[in-house]
Amino acid sequence: MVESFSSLLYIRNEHRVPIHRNHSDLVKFALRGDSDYLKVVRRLKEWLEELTIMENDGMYISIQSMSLSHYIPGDQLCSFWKTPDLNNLESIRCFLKALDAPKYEHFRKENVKDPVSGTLEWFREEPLYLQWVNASTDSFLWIRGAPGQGKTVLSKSVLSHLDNLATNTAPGTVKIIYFFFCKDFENFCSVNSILRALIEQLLKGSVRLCQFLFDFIDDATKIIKSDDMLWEIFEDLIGRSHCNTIYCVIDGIDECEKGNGGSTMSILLQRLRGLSDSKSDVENRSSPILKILLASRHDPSISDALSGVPYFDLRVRVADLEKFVEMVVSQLPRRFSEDCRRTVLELLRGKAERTFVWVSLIVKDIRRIIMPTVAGLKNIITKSPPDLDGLYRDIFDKIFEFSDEEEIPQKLIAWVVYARRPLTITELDTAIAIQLDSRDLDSLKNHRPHLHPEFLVSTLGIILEMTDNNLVHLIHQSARDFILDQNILCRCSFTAKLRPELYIAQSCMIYVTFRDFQEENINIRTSATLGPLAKLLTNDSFLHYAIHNWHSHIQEENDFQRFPGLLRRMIAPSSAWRRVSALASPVPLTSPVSGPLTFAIDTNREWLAIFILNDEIETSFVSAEELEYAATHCSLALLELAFKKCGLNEEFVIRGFLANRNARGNPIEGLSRATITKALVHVALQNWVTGDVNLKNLIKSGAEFTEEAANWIIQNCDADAIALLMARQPFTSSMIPAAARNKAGAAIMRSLVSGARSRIDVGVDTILAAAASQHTGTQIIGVFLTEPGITFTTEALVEFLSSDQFEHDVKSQLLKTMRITVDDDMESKIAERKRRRGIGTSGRGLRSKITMEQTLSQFLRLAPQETAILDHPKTSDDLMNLIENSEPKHMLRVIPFIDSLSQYARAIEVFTQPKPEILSFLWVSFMHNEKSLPHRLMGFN
Amino acid sequence: MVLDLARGAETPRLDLLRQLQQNSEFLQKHRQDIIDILENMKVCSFYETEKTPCVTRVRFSSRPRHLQLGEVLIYLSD
Repeated sequence: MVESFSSLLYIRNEHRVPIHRNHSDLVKFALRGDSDYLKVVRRLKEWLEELTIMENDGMYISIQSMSLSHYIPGDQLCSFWKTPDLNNLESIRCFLKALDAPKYEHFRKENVKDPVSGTLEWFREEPLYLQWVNASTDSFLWIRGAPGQGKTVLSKSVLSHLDNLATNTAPGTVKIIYFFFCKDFENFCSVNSILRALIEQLLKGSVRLCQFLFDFIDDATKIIKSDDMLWEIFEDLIGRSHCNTIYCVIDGIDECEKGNGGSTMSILLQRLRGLSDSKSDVENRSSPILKILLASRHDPSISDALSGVPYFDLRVRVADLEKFVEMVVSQLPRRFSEDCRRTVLELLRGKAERTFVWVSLIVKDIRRIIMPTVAGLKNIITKSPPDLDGLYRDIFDKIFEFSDEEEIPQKLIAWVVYARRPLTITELDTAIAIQLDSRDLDSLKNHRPHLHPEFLVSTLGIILEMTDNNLVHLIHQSARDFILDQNILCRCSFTAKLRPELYIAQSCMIYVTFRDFQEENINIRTSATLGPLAKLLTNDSFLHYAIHNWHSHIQEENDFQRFPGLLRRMIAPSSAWRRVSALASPVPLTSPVSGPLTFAIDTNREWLAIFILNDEIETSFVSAEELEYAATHCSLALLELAFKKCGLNEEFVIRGFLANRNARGNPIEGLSRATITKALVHVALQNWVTGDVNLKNLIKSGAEFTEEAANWIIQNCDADAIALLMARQPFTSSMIPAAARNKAGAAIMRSLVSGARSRIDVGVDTILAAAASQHTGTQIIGVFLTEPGITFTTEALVEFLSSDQFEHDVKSQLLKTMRITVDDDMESKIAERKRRRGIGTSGRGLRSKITMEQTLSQFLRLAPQETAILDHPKTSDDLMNLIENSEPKHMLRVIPFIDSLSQYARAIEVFTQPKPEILSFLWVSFMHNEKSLPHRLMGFN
Repeated sequence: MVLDLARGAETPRLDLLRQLQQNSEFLQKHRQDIIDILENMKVCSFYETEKTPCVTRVRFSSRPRHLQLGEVLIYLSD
């Protein structure tokens, strides 16, 4: 027997599983039901599951790719499988969750058809494709073709081909990333979605890239909203990947949301092109070879963006179409006799110029025939319009011809075309039943069409498809295009007065404001009251859709004016949407307050904000906190509206203007008469993004500043702002100590003193401030010595001469220049001052043992990671642990903090010198309550 | 016993057997190497708890003892 000592490794992370057998029987199991066998299998299964979870989280390359044929040296294997730092693992999970990439794998598997066996294989031999695949530099290929030529299926086939190629290379050397655009799904049609999906794919299998990402982004848990930021991350990840080659396949880019007059898509195309251009620079040679394949329609805007890119015109091959026809004919129901099948096969084969979609539509049409005859089939196929549009027109004419006043088929198509995600048959049943005068669920009863799958197949099966989970789709993108281009729904009476999409928006709003979902006098802040509503939301998925999407169907500026009554009901406190508005946001809201105005601002629904501000600004509808949030986050135009329409008080609006980190511009007209207080200046100083610019613009606009506010500017702002201020503000002597406290004290002091044109008395305050500034204190005294008309008060002189911050030379020079002799009286005052300050006449002060600079640098070294601190800043022990275990990151937030602290330098220096960690506590309170800290510190000063 | 089997001749097979002897230097080193590689990974060790039958040297006596089920007696003649 081998001793347990020798069969175990005794290392951490070792799971030890005893098997009650001897050495030679250890792996010999007679039966599947053997308990030891089950023990081993269960453990292996657990491990596999764990690995799969990690793989899905983007941590590991999939096990399949680790085939035994690939030799990986031990040390590489070790680092490859190395357990990553658990903190990072958690952060990566958080990030990937926040990234919220669309389910691209599922889409490829479930929503894109596989090519019929034997078709499209010729493409792998096409010279352009071969050139693209085999190129040893970055390459770009555009596959373009009319609708129904099989671009999407070809893209899927290309991906399978690339997957096969990749299995023959060493793991980690080739990366294949892809995206299928699809207008049917809201999260598959925007630039934002594709970037999220591509980023996730790049991160999958690379712990190193994940870790790099955390150095790059500010806060992993915060959702990244902007396309620009996502692009920057994507571009960087591409550059840093250790793969040799990255294949990127993007299908249906013509289905990408155009946004801003088509610019969004064009920008994406330009960037993709730029990516391969810029990578040819010498400095980036180490980055992988990037091969991009795009498949799309021949759209003029795409051609413009891709001019010069090699392209392949995709047309259906006769041989492929024949195989396709054979396949669909073989799948015809048994009631189709051999003769019928032969007829269909021959007739469809003869239509060599047709597309896959055309053939599918015809076959769907003939499948509906209950008793097929050869003559009847011939009639249908030969009389069908040869072009896709003609065929669609025929189909829709037939559908609409037989519909009654309720217009059920039309409504059904409207919902399928315009809904942000495919709806289930049950959801559609509810959606269609909603009438203009519906007020509750009961009122829908008589209007429900009671849809069921058979109904769909028999009436609209030619144009609609149902997936296994009862979701209803259009059969092809070209059908949607036909409906939109030909505006066929505008002929219907239910959309007579509205665009079809507004009919959808209206129906959603009517449903959400049903009496059944209202609850009076509810406190929107407490989630407990969401209870019954949350239950409703889980049970009624259409309510869920309506609450989440009603606003996305309103796009044009004037749309919302068509139903003000409904909108008012939507934003009323009792509305279901209002109560879940925080949940209803498409992105997790970061704002501390919730409400319709906050929602409108966070999700860029400016029309909603305008509606609320224009129409509904009542205290019961919009809270003061919400208004404040809005003022500091909305655009200037909205702020102006808020000011003019809602009679907000001026101070409130100015505060919003100065605190608003998104708006940079001139203050609103009519505000210039307002008096600016110190508190307002302080708000601007705290806004380190736009506060400086906005404050300067406010000064330029001629606003009047209180003396205290002016001093606060002189103490804290740069020379430009002070110059602007001094051009308007009369000089007062209290500005002198303020200038001495400024970081650029000497320069500020000189310009102030030279422009003062009056006698200046330097007081104790000024000397104290000058003494506190390590670098400019002596220079400030120098200014006093060279500028005319300056005198020192006796107290100031005593303070100056008793201070150990000034060198003896400076002191004697001042006495000499000002022709001052130190008499006995003053001598005793100096001695008394020194004694009171607790400084011996000989030694240097305790205060100077640790300078502010040292303290700050120590603090920076100890500064806890912002995210961590925000997540768990509870006790001092927690904090100390965090300080010990984390490194300073995210300096962006630290620097303004340091800036705001430096004005209290001396106080903090004295206060924190025994333990620099105290600064960390200050940091925490700063992070938690930005406003309160400086005021609290002022007490020390 | 291995030496008995080899009868004094030095063969590569004997060398291998020697290396596989309990607590041999080779096995110790081998074990340390694998620990170095596996240290940062998760490892699952299935180990036996029962005694494994193995060849044992018995003294030859004129009166052979009764064998038990599964036991084999090998005579090694001079």
